[in-house]
Amino acid sequence: MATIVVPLGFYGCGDMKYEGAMARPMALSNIWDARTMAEMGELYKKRYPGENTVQKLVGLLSEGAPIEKNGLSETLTSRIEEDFRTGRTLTLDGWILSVTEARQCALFSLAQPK
Amino acid sequence: MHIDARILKDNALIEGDICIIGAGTAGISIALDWIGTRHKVILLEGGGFEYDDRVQDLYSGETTGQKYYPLKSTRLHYFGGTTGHWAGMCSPYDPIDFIERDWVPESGWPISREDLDPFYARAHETLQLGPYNYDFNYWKFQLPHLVPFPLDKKVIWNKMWQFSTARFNDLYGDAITGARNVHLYTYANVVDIIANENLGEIKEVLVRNHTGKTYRARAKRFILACGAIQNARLLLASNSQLPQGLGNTHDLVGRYFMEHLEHASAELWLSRPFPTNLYSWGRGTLASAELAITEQAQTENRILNGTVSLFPLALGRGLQSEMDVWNNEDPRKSAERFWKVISDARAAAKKVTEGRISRAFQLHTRIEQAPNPNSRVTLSSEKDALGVPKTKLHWELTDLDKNSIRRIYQLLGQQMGIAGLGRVRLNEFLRDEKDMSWPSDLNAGWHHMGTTRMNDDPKKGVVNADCQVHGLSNLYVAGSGCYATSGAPNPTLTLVALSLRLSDFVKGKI
Repeated sequence: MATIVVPLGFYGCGDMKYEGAMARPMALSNIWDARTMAEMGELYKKRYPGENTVQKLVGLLSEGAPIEKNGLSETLTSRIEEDFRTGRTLTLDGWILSVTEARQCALFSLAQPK
Repeated sequence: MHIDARILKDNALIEGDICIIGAGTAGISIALDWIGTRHKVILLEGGGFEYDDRVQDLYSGETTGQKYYPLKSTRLHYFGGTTGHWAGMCSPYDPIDFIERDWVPESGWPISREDLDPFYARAHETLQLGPYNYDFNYWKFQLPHLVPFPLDKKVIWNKMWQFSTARFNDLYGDAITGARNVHLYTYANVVDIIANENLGEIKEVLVRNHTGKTYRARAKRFILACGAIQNARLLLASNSQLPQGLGNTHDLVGRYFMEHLEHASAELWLSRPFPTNLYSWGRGTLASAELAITEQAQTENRILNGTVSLFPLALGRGLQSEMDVWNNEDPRKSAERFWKVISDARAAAKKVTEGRISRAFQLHTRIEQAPNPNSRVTLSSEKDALGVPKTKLHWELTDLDKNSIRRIYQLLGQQMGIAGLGRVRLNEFLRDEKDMSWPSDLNAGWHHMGTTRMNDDPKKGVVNADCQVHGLSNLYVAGSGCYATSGAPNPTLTLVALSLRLSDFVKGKI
């Protein structure tokens, strides 16, 4: 079985550092195990190969609003709800997901050891 | 009064004021309504008071198109009809079910929900249900443990259900046989309907059973109450005077056969526990709810009316599609296997009490089928033991049916996300938006509807708003065959309401 790394606190990947909560979709963390989350992240990256880097995903997840360390999780949760409200959703392996949380999964998958 | 028709002499004549053909849910509901009147009621039942395989075999037939249950197994052919093993789920049709919707071809009834409301209330008495009240707040007041998901009420609402345990055989056998003015004939299968010379009204019906004897029944008014498939079959098979059968001038009899699509379609995974009894039911449950799509959301999304019910996923994963389980011609054997699968799944599910799956649910669709003239009942070249052509059912679905199911779960997934309750996962058959095919094990509710659809225009319907067959002044059809659209709820409550409305109408005529 592959080792799964769940980012906690600030997480670094190459030169890019980001807050761990950015790669941890709250609702999905209560539904999936880490392996599933990584697999879904892989699916997302396959569908959107242009988002297959930490830099790109962090940039997209940080877009639009200043994300403070303390309020990051809440900000992302609000954004996820807004995604659902405005139809910014996609279906991955049957799961109806918000674009934001799917990107979080993708970022999560990039943090896993190859 | 009860007469076993097998003891009658060959060519015996049975006479009364009204003749009800079929002692199932519709026929008994009407007959009960006539007890104590000054009119002589003839109630003809093909079977006896218990299961008889030779009689049941008269329901055999062939099916084509979308896979369907063995026809012999889908109805019970004895006094009390299919209430002998029904689940008792009752909920009225919604107002939108009765109106014309421009996105649902050939939708619209010539009557409204308001027209049926007083009869729904009476049907509650016949089916021994609670008060005719399906308002969530009413039940929430009665049963405080019914906690609803906090979803947008403009999109999702809680459609309430009540549960009947009425089995008409046990419940009404004594009332019917003890009634002086109701003459119940068992083993009296109607095999032909004969019109008068100008073909404007029914003169008599021919009755047979396995003794080989034939009888005639005459009355002022005749009510067909054999179930949607058998009513159509009988009208089509009554073709000695008109080759296309009776009431079939415009080739509508048997068309628009509809079922309820009842299928495991998705999963709901809650991100945290949500204790409620609102969405589950079992023995003794007075009321529960299904998640339903509002009229506004149906209109905006141009979809059919449907609901979603929740089963614990640990249980749902142990279940098989009823279409695969209910596959024996003998309804008793199919039922036995059906209950064994459920029992095994329950036993396995009891072992799963922890982990994420304990707050996950299998989502079951319950949705109307769009009216489709190509989904139809015709006659087979093969005949049954009494000489009547057997049924041939071609069940056919449309893209609207599939798109509607998919859209319902997309809406639900969206709402669950907005509310932060959890996530919805579509089952495989709904994932590709371009895929309009159906799984071979697609489930149906054993609900037969639409084969003698109601419309005031004879070119669009077999019966008018009073359930009278167009062009035949004394022939009526009772039951779900008259439905112009099939709604989402199980049909029995509406069927009884419509039958009582017909009963009132015929009383006014006689």
